[in-house]
Amino acid sequence: MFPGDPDPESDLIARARSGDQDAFAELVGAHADRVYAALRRFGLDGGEAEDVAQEVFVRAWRGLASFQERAQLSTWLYRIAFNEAQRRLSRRGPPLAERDLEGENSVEAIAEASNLGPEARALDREFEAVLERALSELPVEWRAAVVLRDIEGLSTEDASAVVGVRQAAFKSRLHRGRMQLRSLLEPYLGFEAG
Amino acid sequence: MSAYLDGELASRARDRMQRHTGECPGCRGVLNTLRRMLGRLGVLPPPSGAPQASDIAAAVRARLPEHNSS
Repeated sequence: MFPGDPDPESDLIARARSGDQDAFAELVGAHADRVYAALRRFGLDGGEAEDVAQEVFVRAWRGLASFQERAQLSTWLYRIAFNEAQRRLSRRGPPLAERDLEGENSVEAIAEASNLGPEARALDREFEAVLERALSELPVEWRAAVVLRDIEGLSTEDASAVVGVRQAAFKSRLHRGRMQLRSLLEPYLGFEAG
Repeated sequence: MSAYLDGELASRARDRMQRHTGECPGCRGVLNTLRRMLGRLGVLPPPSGAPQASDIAAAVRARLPEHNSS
């Protein structure tokens, strides 16, 4: 792409706004993986995340006229996804993570996972499973902050806009989420005091 | 510490943090594990069992006319 060339995504957005459903389907294809992954990590299971991902894009289609192109499409989609995930999670009653957060069971379970032997510990996949499990232990708001900032790679400004809070409040959630996550992972990560 | 790792501290606060973690093994340990953890979070693969993006696109595409006409 050369300077001055139209951004391909802007072109697709413009076409979708004029009613071109094929153009919109291209946008869905480009963003579906990230939306689905974020929904899973916000706390939805696989089936829910797939349903909600579809709902996110259907809502985006309906709301395209109100989409401000100053924002990135991905940030806007994360915002819809976050709101939809919150709606689903609120129907479940108190989140498991908040019920168990102060308990020892979750931490012990992660510590057990770290005791599977040096060979197993060396496996990235095992650590990834432990990390995902620890993430699921965080309170919903802290988890969302970590997911958006540290996994999805949004800026603090964009991530705070997604969850609808001021940057200072977002940074506080992020810090608490990171520290809690580190605490849960401590038996696995070990200390590197040197 | 979080703001330090994100490069969001002003220079004086950053200098204080560097001095402190240079002298305090406990805080240096926390900082190191945080740094390692953030490194791993940044390269986490997609959750297992993810549907194909093209399947989601097709399912959404099939739902659009219905919603469009409502």
